[in-house]
Amino acid sequence: MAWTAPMTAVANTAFTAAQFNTHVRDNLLETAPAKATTEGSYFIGDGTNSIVERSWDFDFVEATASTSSTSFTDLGGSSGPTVTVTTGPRALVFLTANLFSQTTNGTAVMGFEVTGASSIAASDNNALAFESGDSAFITISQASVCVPLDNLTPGVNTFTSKYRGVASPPSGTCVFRRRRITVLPY
Amino acid sequence: MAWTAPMTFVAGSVLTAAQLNTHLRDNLLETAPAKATTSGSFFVGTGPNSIAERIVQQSLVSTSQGTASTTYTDLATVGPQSTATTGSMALVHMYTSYVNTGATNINLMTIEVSGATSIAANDQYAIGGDSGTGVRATSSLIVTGLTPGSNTFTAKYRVNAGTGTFQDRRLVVIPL
Repeated sequence: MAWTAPMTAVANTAFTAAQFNTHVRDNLLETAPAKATTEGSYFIGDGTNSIVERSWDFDFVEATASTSSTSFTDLGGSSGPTVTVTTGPRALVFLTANLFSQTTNGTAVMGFEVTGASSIAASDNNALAFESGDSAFITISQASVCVPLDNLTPGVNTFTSKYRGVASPPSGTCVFRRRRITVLPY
Repeated sequence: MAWTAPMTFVAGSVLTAAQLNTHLRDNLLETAPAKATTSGSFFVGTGPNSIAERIVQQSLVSTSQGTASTTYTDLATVGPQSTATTGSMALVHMYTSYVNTGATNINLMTIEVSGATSIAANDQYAIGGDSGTGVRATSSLIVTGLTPGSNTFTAKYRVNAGTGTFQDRRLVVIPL
C-alpha cells in the first residue's frame, strides 16, 4: 500500500468503506509505528510520501594484528571487522582503531570496501590514517573517522575493513587493534 | 495506548465509536507528530509497532586541565557530561586535544555510564595516544547494553606516565 493524500470530508456525503480503507487504514500503515520492528531502529525518508525503517550495526575486533602490505588487504589471522546492513543510497561509516607504524614517519591506514548490492574498493579517501612520530619513538593513536557515502546501490551491502601501510615514506609493519566499524544506513 | 493493526472496513457495516477510537484515535496517538515535544528531536523504533522520541545531548569543557593519574579519573572540571534518555544503546562522539609532558607517554579520554546503567571507564571506548607536541582526536562508537532510561555519560581521563593535559573536550550522545 502507498500513501494517499488524505481526503477532505464534505458535509452530508457518505463516508464509504473504500475511502476509510484508503485514507485511514492504508495511510496509517505508512506511518512509523506501523513499520517499526526493532529497538534502536530509526526512520528515513524513502522518497515522496514514503518512509522506511533502518537499523545500524557495528562489529568490533579487539585482537592485535599487523600488515606490511602497501595495498589494502586483510590482516593476517584476524580479518574484519565486517558489517552487513540494508541501506538506501547513503550511509555513515565510522572507523575506529588503535593504529601505528613501527617505522619512523610511516603511516598506518584503515579503510573499508563495500560488497553486495554495491562494489566500492577500499581507498585512502575513505580511511582512518595515522603517521607515526620522529626517530626517537613510535607514536600510537586511538581515534575515529566518519565517512559519508552517497553512492551506494540500495539493498544489502557488506562493509569490510581493510588495511595498509603507506609506501612512501616507507611504513614497514603497521599494527592495528581495537578495530571497530559502525554503519548507519540511510 | 498501543498500536492496533488498522481494521479493514466493510461496505454496509457500521463504524462504531469504539472502532474509531481504537483504529483512528489511538493509532494516530502512536505516530511521530503525536509524540513530538522538542525541536531537533528524532524518532527511533522501540520494538514492534512502537516508536519513541529521542533528543541529542552534548556538552563541552574548553578549559585546559591535566592529570598524572594512571587510572581513569576526573579532571579539575568534571566532564564533559551528558544525560540522555536512551533505549539499550547510544551513539557517542568524543573529541579532545591532548599533550603529555613525555612525548612517548599515552593520554586517554573515555566515558563511564551511570544512572540506569553502570559501565566503568575503559580503554576499549577511549580516544588518545602519545604526543609531546599536541594532537586533536575524535571517536564515534555505539555503546550497547544500556538499561533503558536516564543514563549519564561522563568523560574520564588517564595517562600511562607523565602528566597529560586535555583541552576542548566535547561529548555528544545520540540516544537510540
